[in-house]
Amino acid sequence: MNETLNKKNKTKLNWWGYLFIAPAMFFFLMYILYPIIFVFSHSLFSWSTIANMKWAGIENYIKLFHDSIFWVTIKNSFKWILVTVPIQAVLGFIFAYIIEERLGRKKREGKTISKTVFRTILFIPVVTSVTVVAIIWSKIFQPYEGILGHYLSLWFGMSSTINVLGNANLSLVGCMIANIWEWTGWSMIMYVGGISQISDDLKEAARIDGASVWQELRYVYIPLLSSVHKSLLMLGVIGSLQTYALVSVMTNGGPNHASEIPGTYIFLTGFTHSQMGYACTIAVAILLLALILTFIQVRFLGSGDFAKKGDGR
Amino acid sequence: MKKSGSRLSDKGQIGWIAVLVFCTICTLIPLLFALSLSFRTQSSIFDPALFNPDMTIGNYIKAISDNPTIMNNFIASLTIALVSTVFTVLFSSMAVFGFSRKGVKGKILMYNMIMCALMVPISALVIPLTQMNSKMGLLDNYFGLILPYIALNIPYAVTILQGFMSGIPIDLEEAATIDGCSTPGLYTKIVMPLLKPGIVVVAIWTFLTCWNEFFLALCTMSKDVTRTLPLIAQQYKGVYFSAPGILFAILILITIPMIVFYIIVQKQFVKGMTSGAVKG
Repeated sequence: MNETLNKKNKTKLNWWGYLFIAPAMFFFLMYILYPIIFVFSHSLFSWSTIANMKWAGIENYIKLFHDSIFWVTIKNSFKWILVTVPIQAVLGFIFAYIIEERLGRKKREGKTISKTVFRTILFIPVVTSVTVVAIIWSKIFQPYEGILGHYLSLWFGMSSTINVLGNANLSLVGCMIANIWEWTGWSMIMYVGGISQISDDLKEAARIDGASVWQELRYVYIPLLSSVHKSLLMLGVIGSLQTYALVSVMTNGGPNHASEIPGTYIFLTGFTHSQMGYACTIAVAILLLALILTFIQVRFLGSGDFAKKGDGR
Repeated sequence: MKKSGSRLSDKGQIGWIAVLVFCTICTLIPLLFALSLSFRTQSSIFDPALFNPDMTIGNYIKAISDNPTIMNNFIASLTIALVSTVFTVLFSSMAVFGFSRKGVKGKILMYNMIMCALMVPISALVIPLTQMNSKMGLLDNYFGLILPYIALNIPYAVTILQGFMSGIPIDLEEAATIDGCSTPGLYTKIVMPLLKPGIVVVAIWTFLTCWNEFFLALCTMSKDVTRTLPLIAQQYKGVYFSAPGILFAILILITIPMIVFYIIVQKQFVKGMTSGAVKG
């Protein structure tokens, strides 16, 4: 880096360029980099308010390592990633594929209207506020009063008293179902964007060659949408790690921490138990986890649309 | 459908449509259930069926008359989301323009730093952001949310806009420069208009995330009048525990503006998404 800098020292610095980048960099430094440094440094203290800090060294980290609830949150995060991200992607892809490619391939008035209607309805959960989603799904899962138990018992003769969110084995699943419902529309719209970038010639060629639906998907759509898959994976991993509202409103981590995730645990330790230092330690662990998972993805899958190495032009 | 071409029979077409219609109905059921609950009377509210003919609009009347501050909450949400969106769009498009200039040393480093911020989960930053807000006296202040929202949305906005920026031919800018266009003029007159489809995507997405953000808002806003809508939904869950009809009326009232907003902008949004916000 230094060499290139020295070599280019002759060319005039473009002050306008710096001026244009400055606001974005200011916000980055002030509201992202500084908070990251803050959680790292403050995780080494035991404190409840800034005025009352006691040096703790790595005590918090030792405690974290032996904290079984923390390991539950990590396990739940992995479950969350492994379940919601693929299901959302697959469903989103199926919706996008049917809407864009099977609802009439030729552009005709009536077809575009029906496309718009389906795309819009399937996207509505994304624009619905997350707390509203959480409350509606809590109601759906509620024993006796919720429609899930009601129709399961009506149609399949199952017990209508099934308490999804109050059951330690099912509460996380209930939250994940709500999450999938909310975010599938986003995957769909990403795939709609991706499919529109595939050249018509290629689709036409596959059709002329008499490719079956499966072959068409296998050899044209799935490989050519790889950057959408990667973007969704990346956003999905981060989205999973920062999930808070859905679980907070639906189960608040319960019953007995069974559905605890990093977000709810940070809130519980930091704001409910006033152990800010320990909450910062959990935050550091989550940041490191995000970093590791991102590194693994970039290393083994490439980065999709993100983190360009050159400047692109 | 006469000449839907290829080997596709009408039967195949109908099969696909049936799958799609089924999934769409499944997607709508939770919302229909909420809508149905919002019209129930106190005697039909605990019926688990999807529809119950025993209906009233009393819940809506009571929801509004009981909660005069709901308009303040709406204004709070709208102001915060709008201001954050405007500045996110402005600063990220400026940054992308800056990154494309020659003679900006260290721009790849700066760009990648901002990209790394994409990988930072907001829940890890809630404690420092709350501490900063309390130090600067921004608790219960719109800016206590607006400033972090701008910062947290810039990385994603830059990613999307960078894709559009690299599609703008450099010749165009050079031609404008020769014609005497200054650097700021280049940004406002040439680059901004060409970035428009990307800006639409970024603006709608930023607006949605800010409108729906919960965790930071929960830690920042404690007064009745400054709370954003996601917070009051959660608050009313407790308040109307024994009168869920009113709770669901409020949820529907909160949801409708966003659905209307999306229906209005969806055409532009999809257009932006299909014109290069996503790479195939």
